[in-house]
Amino acid sequence: MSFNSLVFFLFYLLIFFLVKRISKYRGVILLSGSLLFYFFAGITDICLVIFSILINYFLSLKVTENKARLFLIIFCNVVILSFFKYRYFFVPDISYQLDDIFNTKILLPLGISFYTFQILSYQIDLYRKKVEQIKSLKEFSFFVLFFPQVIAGPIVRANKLFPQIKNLFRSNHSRLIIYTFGLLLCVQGVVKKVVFADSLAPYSDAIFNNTPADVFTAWLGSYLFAFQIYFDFSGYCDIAIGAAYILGIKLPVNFRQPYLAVNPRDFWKRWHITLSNWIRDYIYIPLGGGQNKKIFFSFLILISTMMLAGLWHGANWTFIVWGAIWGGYIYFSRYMPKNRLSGSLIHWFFHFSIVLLLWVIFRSSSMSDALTYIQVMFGFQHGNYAVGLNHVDKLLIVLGCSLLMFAHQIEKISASKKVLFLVKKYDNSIVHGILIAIIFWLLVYPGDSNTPFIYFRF
Amino acid sequence: MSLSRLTKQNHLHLLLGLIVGSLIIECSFRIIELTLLWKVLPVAEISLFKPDYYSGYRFRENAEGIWTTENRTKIKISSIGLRDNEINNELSDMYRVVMVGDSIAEALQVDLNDTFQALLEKKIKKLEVINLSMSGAVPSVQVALMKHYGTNFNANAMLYIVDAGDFDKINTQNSSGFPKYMPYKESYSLDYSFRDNANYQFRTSKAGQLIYWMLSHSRLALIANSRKNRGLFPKKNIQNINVHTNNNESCSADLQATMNSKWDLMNSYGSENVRNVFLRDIAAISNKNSTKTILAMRNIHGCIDNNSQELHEFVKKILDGYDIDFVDLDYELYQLSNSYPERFPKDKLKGFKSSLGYGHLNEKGHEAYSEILKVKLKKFLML
Repeated sequence: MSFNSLVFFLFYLLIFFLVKRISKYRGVILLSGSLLFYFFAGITDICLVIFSILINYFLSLKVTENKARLFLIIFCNVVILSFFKYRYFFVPDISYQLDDIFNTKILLPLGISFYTFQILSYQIDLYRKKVEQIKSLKEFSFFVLFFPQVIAGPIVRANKLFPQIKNLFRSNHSRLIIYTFGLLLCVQGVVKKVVFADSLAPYSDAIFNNTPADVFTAWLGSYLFAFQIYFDFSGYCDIAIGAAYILGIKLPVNFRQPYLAVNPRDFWKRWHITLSNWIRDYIYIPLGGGQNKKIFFSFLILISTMMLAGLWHGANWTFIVWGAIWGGYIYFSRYMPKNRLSGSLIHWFFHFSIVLLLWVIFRSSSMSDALTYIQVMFGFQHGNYAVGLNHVDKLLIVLGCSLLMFAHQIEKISASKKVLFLVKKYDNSIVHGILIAIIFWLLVYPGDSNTPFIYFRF
Repeated sequence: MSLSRLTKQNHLHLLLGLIVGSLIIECSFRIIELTLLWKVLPVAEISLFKPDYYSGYRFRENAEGIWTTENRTKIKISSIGLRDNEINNELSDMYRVVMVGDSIAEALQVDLNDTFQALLEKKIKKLEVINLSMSGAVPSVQVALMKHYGTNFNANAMLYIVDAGDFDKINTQNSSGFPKYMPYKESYSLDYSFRDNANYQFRTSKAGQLIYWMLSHSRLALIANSRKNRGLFPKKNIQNINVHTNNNESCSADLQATMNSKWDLMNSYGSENVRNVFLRDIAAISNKNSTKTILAMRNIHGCIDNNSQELHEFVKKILDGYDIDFVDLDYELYQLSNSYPERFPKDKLKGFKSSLGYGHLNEKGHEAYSEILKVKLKKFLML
């Protein structure tokens, strides 16, 4: 059940009305709704997530300071994740044999990367005594399964989510909800997905699926993909945050206009923030990152961490190389001299070009495809797919592309305090009606592409 | 103010908001259409058809909008319901060809000026091609269209663009929305029973007319209509355009033999065969109106290669009996591409997501078709 579908719209309305009508049982309603929502993913997926919940729940009930217990929990979760996500990558022969034995190909369970990381964060924080133990199975299940964020995040920490869950299950007190705010986030998300991401998808796909003919087409393809994946994923997150907020749960922000970043560290503070923070807190720092170590070691730690971040996206060398280069780029950016150009337009342009180059590796199906594509970007190779056959076309395309960056700026303004004040002021039924109608019609729109969210496959 | 009154007021406000929100979406779609962004951003796809007493369905006169399935083009239907320019009846010295075909000839995927019909008019001076083609117009619909509408144009020639695969569909397809060939007195004849269907009855009723009026005037109605056509809750990605799997470059003897045998069957069925009935009907229309007829066919091969002469001779022999001329479009396209590989490279002729000679044509494909038909028509009309 995708967020950009009418089924989800109707499902959400049903859950919302039930929560409003029987607010006493809102926790149970939301948990049942989450189970039903995840049930749509398939029987294997729901069985696996229940299995994962039960194992983690019972293991977390025992002595929390025991290091062996923590390793056992991490091992169990990593094994489950690796089996479903990385077995073809690490042990292809055995994996194909397994497929033959069971006469079926076991697909990647929906949202497994996200909920596994969320569970791990809880278990590690529990060991570190940074979070209160979740003693109730239904509350723990809610923590893992809450439907607006189970499939593709944001990855929420237990110390942020658990107090809200407790309030849902144990208290009749509902906190003040500014519905206009939640609905506006949903509108923003649906617009990003239906209007922008799905419109860009056919063009970036066409360029990447055929080797671009010239430098212009190659850079254009990368630029379009950069915005496609941004609008797609941040659109999903906006809907998730908005939908959760209306139901009384606050989720963390996951994106802050990443293409306005002027250096790689700034970029990762704006792109998939919850994953960046997770990797920083549970991989980078425990490995010794951020400490005064020898240059080689700190370089190695950063590269390894970013390679793991790349691998999280999928079992492909392109993701690993993508992560490794990001690591190298972050590392070397520390030694870039700070001068009056720092933070300037030139600096931004240089950084954004590297981001586009790295998206090529991320988007390509193999490293050889990526290298060919990058060669075209610098004029060393030529394919056969060209866009913008004359100067007028090229000018129009550049103008259209600049509108995408402009949309980024608008988004920045929309998150300002002034706008938030206005949102609060106009929290009334007429505005709610307007926003619901906009969401409804955009979901009814059948679209040319209508592709599922990109991050669902991770 | 009492609680119930407050709730009622809230509901009224919500309803008002829903109406305003819908109007905002309506305006947004219209604004996109007015700018160049219609090429990229979401737009409401045009609804083209209305019920028709003879052919089951026809273009709605003066319908105007954007086609989004496979490429994006602005479509304007003429005042007499054709995907064509307005017809100028004062030009008496023109040679007139009435063409009828399926979606290939309807060509919604490209601008009207880039269709092979328009290119033919540019390439042959004094030629006017009137296009009656519509998506899904199988041979029985083509006959109905030509019989009831095509004959009004006093044409010098009639051109049928037929997919050979559509002959196979006739017997099995439940074509309740349009005329089809049904067994009648040991032969076949056009059956118009679709007029009794509830669907047709509704579409021609006042309520149906109201819906068509809304489709002509509201983008929201178009969006709802597109959604209805694609399914309210589609399970999978709806972009499932049929990709022809035939590999034209490698012909297997078995495949070719299968296709040849289909034409053999046609002969053995004799007068009862639907294909022969179609040929009989188009020949009769031609004789009655003292015009010539060309049958341009696609998909008569399993694949295209240089060994098609035998099949051509066979088909021509059949068609000669009806005084119908013949063009094998796939074969000619293959030859054209081989003769002029730079002008018509095979990889540029694959149309929209299909293999060479199949699927809807792109601009290059239309140019190639116009070259093929130009040669044929010039010879045929002795120009």
